[in-house]
Amino acid sequence: MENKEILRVLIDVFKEVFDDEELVLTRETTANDIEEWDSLNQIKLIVESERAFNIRLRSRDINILENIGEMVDYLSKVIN
Amino acid sequence: MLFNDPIFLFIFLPIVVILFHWIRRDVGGGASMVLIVAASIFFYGWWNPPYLLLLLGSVLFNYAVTHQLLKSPSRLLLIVGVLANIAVLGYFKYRNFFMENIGLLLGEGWQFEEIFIPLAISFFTFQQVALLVDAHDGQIKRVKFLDFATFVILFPQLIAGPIVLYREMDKQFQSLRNGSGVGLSLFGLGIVTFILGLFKKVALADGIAPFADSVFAVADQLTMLEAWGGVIAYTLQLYFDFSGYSDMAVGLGMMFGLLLPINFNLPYRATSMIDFWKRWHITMTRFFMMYLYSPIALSVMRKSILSDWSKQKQFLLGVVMPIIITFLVSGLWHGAAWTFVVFGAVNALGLVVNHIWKEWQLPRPNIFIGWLLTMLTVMVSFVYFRADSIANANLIILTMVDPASLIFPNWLSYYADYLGIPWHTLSVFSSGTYTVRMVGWIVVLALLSILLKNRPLHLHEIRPTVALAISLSVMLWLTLGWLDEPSTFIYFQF
Repeated sequence: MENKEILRVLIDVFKEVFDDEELVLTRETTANDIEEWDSLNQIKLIVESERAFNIRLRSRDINILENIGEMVDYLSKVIN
Repeated sequence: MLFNDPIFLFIFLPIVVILFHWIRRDVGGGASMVLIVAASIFFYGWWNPPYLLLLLGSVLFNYAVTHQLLKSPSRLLLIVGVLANIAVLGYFKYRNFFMENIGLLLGEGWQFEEIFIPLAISFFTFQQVALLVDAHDGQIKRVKFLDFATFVILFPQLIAGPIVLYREMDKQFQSLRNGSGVGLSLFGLGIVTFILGLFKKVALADGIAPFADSVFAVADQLTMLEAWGGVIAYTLQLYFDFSGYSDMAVGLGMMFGLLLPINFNLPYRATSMIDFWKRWHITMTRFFMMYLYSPIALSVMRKSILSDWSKQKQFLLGVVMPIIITFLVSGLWHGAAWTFVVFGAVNALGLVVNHIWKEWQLPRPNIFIGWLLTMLTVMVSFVYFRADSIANANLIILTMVDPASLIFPNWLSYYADYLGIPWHTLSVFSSGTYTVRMVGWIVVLALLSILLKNRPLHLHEIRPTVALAISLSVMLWLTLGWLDEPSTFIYFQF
């Protein structure tokens, strides 16, 4: 799966979890940029990402990612 | 040896720093790491030499396990390794607590001989447990013994954190070895940060401590205003004590060219419980989130989606339960006493309410109300943290809210009569001057707590200006003047 495609699907996941159709994400977006981001939403993001990409993730690996760009790269590694 | 000890400040530290950079330059990064490990061992051993064996034994054991896990990750080995660490921690720290409570349940009044808790055991145990998990996960690829030992024993963070993750230090150690590290470039910032931390601890925390102590010492003789004063004073004391220590740890790290993680971020600016725990003891919260909360919550959430649970059930088991477990454990981590468990419980309750509010999209309170509610919850939890028993903690909190406890001091009798409030000679607010001094300390420290930024964030804002030089000099002068007062770090007992 191409990174661009991963980012697109990821944005949909985020929109779903944060219940915000207007949500804008770039590779530079961090947790601090999204006000509603907390431990609970983090879990939801992981679970929904697992469903969207049909993979298994580990929260410890996600927690230390700095921004969306790193998340996309990480997902790319797991998927491919 | 404590960081505010003259022996540390004027003998140990200068010698180690000079030797470190000299060796780093003339011999090599690896050699300088050996020096730091040796110095750290000396530092730890200064307190109680026999327990050095425990620390070193722990390091050797965990290195062996890590080495094996890196070769072939075995779940069984990981579990054995983690349990062994926790068992040691459990024995030294919790044996008496555990046994005395079992005794109580059985109707026996067992008393146990006090076990001397090895300094820093909670911290070096957790750091290594995290490392074992990371090694098993493949988060870490290879670990040299010297790097491992430096990581665990590094004296700036050995005693009371920050709880560092190996991945944060890995590259820094490599750079140090091959000479591409930051060297002395963070040295100036390190000194500034260290002085700031020392000031927060020796001048601010220790300055307001007696006021808090005087209130908590007479929990059964307090009036409402005294209780509030003492609790607010302690809230400020705890912050400056611990964040001061964390600043010192970071500053020391920078003097050696190492960047340790942030541990506090203006927690008293938090406008919600969730926000507060992103700002208070950040590395501990991070540890518990990564290694306890998330794994549990994740498994539950996955199950809840597969089995299609109701929203309520999903929330209860996927949010409430993991939060309660995590905070009860982290409360207990602070100390083997029920007061710490209640401390954790109060915070858990606050967080659960916060999450319920968000999840069911209830109207957002305005920022000030949010801040007020958060601070009140946190302060209540701190009463349990500080009090010597749950009964005394309850008493203090009751006094804070019971209208009947509103009694003015005798030196305000004129106003009391005017307002129809009873007055008396009080135990803590016995004199106007004492009370005014206490209020003064509270006001100044409250302001500083929301204004003084924490390190190593905003490092670029530290500029070599005249203003900075003057402030640092004043801080140093005040600090050095107060160094003689005996004190310790609150978090050292953990």
